[in-house]
Amino acid sequence: MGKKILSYCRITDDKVILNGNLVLSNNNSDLNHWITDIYDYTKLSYPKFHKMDRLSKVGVLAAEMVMSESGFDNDNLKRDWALCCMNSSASLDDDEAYQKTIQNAEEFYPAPSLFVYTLPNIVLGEIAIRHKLRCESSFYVCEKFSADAIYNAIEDVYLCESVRYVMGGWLEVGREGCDILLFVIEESDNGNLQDFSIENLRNLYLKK
Amino acid sequence: MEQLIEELKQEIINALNLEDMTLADIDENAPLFGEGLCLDSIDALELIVLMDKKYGIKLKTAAEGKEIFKSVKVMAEYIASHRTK
Repeated sequence: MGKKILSYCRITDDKVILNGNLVLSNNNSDLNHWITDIYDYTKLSYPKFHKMDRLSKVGVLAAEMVMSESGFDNDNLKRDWALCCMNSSASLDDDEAYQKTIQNAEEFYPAPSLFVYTLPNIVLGEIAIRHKLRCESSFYVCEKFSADAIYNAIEDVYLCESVRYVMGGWLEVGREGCDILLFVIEESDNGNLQDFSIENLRNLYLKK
Repeated sequence: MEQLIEELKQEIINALNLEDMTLADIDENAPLFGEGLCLDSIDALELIVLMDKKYGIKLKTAAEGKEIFKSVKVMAEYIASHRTK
């Protein structure tokens, strides 16, 4: 029995890769339109999606794909899970938008709908709500993608004996665009699945 | 009334940052909370501020908001009869 990668999703500014297959390419859309294209591709019908910030939107879309590919529904409560992700710019995209609402004394209005997204871990809450994950979650900010850091953080999560599945990865949406690697790990003896290892995480991230 | 409903839809899109939605995506008869747009308490705050800033309507109680925010159409009817701006 070892930790295996059940499925993974890679989203960048120009493509979506799901379990090694290119499933969608970006035809020069800006980030907002690209996110809409991915939403349409997933055939997701989720009104809450439209209220989310961009980090949550992309995270929810990636989660939708990996959960579906891993064979999980979003109807049943899931308690033997954990969420563990990282990025480099935290919630800077939202922090800047929120800051603009309190910049001028004449138009001072600290918008609640922006404020609620001024923490990067909110994306994990949105994913947990969508997939009924009643679980611990952790979100780390790291200077750049690090397979070692993600691997070690998830190994720590597995110290909790009740955890069987972990959804984890790198969720970066900001000035530099969109850079996502999200995967589901399971304790499994299925030899057909990739091992959860630093080398494999690095390869999935770098795969073109 | 139709014009006010369309204007209100756009105001809601702006206030709630529903950037990828169009006016046609919002059904004026659909419930705003629970179903339809699936709004929550944070969004209710934004709608209360919108009513005040744009239409000069100050809601006094939460119960009042519950009635007024049933749908875009109900909101528009209330605005039409109570607006001070």
